This record gives sequence, structure tokens and C-alpha cells, in this order.
Amino acid sequence: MPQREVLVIVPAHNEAGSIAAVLSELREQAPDCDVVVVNDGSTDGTAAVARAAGARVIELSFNLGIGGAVQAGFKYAVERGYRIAVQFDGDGQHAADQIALLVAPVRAGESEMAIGSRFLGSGEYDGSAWRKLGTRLLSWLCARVSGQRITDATSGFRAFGPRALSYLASYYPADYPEPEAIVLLSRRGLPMREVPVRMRARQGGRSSISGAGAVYYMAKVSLSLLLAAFKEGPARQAG
Amino acid sequence: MRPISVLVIVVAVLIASTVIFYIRRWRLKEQYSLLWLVLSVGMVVPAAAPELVEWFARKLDVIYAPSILFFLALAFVAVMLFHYSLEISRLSDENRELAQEVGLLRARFDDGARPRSGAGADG
Repeated sequence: MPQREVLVIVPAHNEAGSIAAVLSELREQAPDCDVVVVNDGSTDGTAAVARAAGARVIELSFNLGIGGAVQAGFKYAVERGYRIAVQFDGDGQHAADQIALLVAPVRAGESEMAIGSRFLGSGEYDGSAWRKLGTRLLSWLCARVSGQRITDATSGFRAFGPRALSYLASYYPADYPEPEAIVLLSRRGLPMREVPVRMRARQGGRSSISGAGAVYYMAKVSLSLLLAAFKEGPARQAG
Repeated sequence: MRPISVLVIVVAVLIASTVIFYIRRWRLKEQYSLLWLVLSVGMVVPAAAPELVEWFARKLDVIYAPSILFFLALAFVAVMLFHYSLEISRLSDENRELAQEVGLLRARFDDGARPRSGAGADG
């Protein structure tokens, strides 16, 4: 099977209920992309469902968290020579017909990272008021630290170019990585932009961020945003 | 020598011999034993020479001399815990790398097992 230009990375943790629909949507709406599912230590047969749907699967031996899972996808992309990768959640929140919008600026070489924003576009966003507030707050902080104009720093719907991929394959935060990745990449001088996209409410599974977890999330991400500005670059080899 | 000094020295010897026992059994790395051996030596010093603690207390203008011991003990525990935080971070990084590596290798293995089909036949 000839390899395509774009790899869609679908991180999935216990998404057996939604992954088949996500994969068939990808096949219909984004037929010119290769797809790899990263099964992040699911206990519900996510991998089997994904394989039955014809997807390639990276099996992680235990749950690494979203960052570790997506990074496995980055490593896969780099190893196989994909120039562009798209992060696409396995819970049905992201719409496959929006992938082309994200990929366009990366393919044109204008951006190394394109972030799908729920707030730039017209699509209705039906998260709770608290969630909205938290997202806004982090986006504001992220914009301050990175100097980038970011409205939706926590969005996990993104396209990456070759330079971003090779960097993030080595350096990517393990949990809640999205806002920090903005700071890390902008510190490396890699161009990025936001693209308005339509998103949906999740079709299955649960958000990893709720209740007491939300407090930890805000504290951890805020801290890592502030500290990301001081982190050393690739001089230090991982491991 | 006061009874408490004897007791402290006995405990210090117990700590040191426990550490050495586990090293001999290959269950404790020398790297991690070092701080514990430093502790056991550090315990013997004030037990054998309590006047040293008094002398330090006068120099540092500490009113209650034994509080110096509490301070040192707390500092030791803090260093030890930070050392463990560093180790845990390193271990979890290495663990993540390994899990990803295994996942990628397994994917490559799957590619080999997958029947080679014509272009685009299996989406």
C-alpha cells in the first residue's frame, strides 16, 4: 500500500464505543490520509474494534496519558517519513471534514502547527461555563507566555509539519500537553496559526478533566506553561 | 557516655548493616545506599561528641541546642525525598519511552503479518 502524505493520529483510551464511527468518518471525509490509532492501554477492546475497522494500531502496554499516546504517534510519523501529521481525538469530538482546513497551511509551508480553534469559528461549543472559563484562562496565559495569538490553547485538533514533528517526537509533555506544546514550539521559532473549525460534543467516553481533576489540570498546566519558557532545548537528549 | 548516645550508635550500626545486607543481596543499588550510609555516620558524630552540638549552637546563636539535630534530620529527609522525585521522573520518562518503542515495534510486526494487498484494497 503506497504511503500517503498525511498521517492522522487517533489517540484512544477506552473509546470502543466511538472509535468505529470515528474511523469510518475518517475514511469517508478524509480519504487521502493514512490513519493510525494509538491504543493508550485501553481495557475495553478499543484496539480490537479499531483493527476490525481496518485501522493500523499502535498498542501501548499501559496507559501513558494523552501526551505519551500522541507522542507515540509522532514517533511513528517520523519513523515512517510522514511530512504532515494530524492529531484527531478518538471520542468523536473532531470532525473529519475539517482536516483539510488544518492541513492546508502546513502543506503550504506557512505553519509548522495549525490549531483547530472552537472559538474563532462559528461552530457552537457546548462545554460548561466552567470549562469555557478554564480554556479561556489558559489560552490567555499561553498567549502571554508564548507571544502567540491563541484563542483555544487546549484544543487537541491540530496539524503538524515536519520540523514540529521531529521536535515533538523527542520532547512532548506526558499529560495535558496541548498548551505547553504551543510555548515549546514558539520558543523554537516554529510558525503556528489557528484555524477556525467546527467541533462536536463527544460521542462516547468521558473527559479526563472533571471534578478535582480540573483543579489539578489548571494548576499543572499553568505551572508548566510558565516553566516551559525556561526549559532547555534539544541539546539534552531524551533518556 | 550517656545511654542515649549508646542507643543512637546502636541504631546507626543497625542502619548501616541493613544497607550493606541489601547491597550484598543485590536488592539495593550502591547509588541509593550512599545517602543512608551518610546518615548512619552522621548520627554517630553528635552521639559520640555531644559537646560538638553545644559548640555549634553557641556559634549559630541557637538557644535550644538539640534543635540543630532536628533541623539536620529534616534537611536530610528533604534531600532524600527530592532525590526520589528526580529518580521517579527519570524512571517514568524511561518507562514512557519503552512503552512507545514497544508499541512501534509491535506495529512494525503487525505490518509484516498483514497480508500484502493491492493498492488501497484495505483502506
